[in-house]
Amino acid sequence: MATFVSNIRTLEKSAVIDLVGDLDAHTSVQLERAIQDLIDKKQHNLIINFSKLNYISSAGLGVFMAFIDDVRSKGGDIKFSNMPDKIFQVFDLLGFPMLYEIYTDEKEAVEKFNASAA
Amino acid sequence: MKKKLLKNLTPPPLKLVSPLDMPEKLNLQLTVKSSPDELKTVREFVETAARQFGFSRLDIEKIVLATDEACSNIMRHGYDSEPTHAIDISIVTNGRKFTVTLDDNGKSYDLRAHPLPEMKDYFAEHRKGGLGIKIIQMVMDEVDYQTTPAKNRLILTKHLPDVAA
Repeated sequence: MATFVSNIRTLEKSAVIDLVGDLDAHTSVQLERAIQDLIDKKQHNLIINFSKLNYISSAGLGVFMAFIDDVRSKGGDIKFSNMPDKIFQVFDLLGFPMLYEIYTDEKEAVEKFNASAA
Repeated sequence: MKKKLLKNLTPPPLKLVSPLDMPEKLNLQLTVKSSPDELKTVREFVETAARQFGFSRLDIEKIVLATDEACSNIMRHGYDSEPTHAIDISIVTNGRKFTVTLDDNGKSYDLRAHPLPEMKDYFAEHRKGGLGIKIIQMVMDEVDYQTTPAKNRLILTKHLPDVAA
């Protein structure tokens, strides 16, 4: 049974990664691979849409920490959107909103990327 | 119109709360392999028990998260990511106290001695991993650790808040 799926969409200048299911020490490897693939293809404007994510542990948070320096050094960013309360609480617990931009809707993140790449 | 609405309002069921009211007593066991694909089973086990005991949704999520983090650490560090070992999990309640005990035979590590990163420094250095222990310490009321030649035992406790008068 698949407990986690990540789907990638391209929206203007950004890649949106939809997370579905549970992101834990078991499934975070899949997300790591998906993000690495995008970076390898020179896509550095990444938006993570959490609307269908049911659960996240520190292993999931670690994936974003692993890539943030790399994408920012290449002029991109990892922005978060559509975060359900229970997911936000885990990010907030550790102060992650200090380091990452979090948007209510992915459209805002897309616009931010469009503006910065103009 | 108003009258009709009032008529339809049913009063909430009367619930008598006395100091003698105690949550359900639980004594549950689960053994899983030291493989990360077992984490979902662990979470469901803890979630069901914490809900049954009467914790709020937020507290249930905290206990589930702490147990997941503890198991992930045992799998990765205690058992060096070897997936065939066992982790014995028990949930025992006493009064308003909810205790999750994790027993393993891997390398021992007293996480109470682990330096907790200051998040400002953590972000400045962009370190990967190591946040699980911090989460456990933040969300549980008590964290205890015992080690004997036979096994390591991590004891995570959370108290059910007193019923508001």
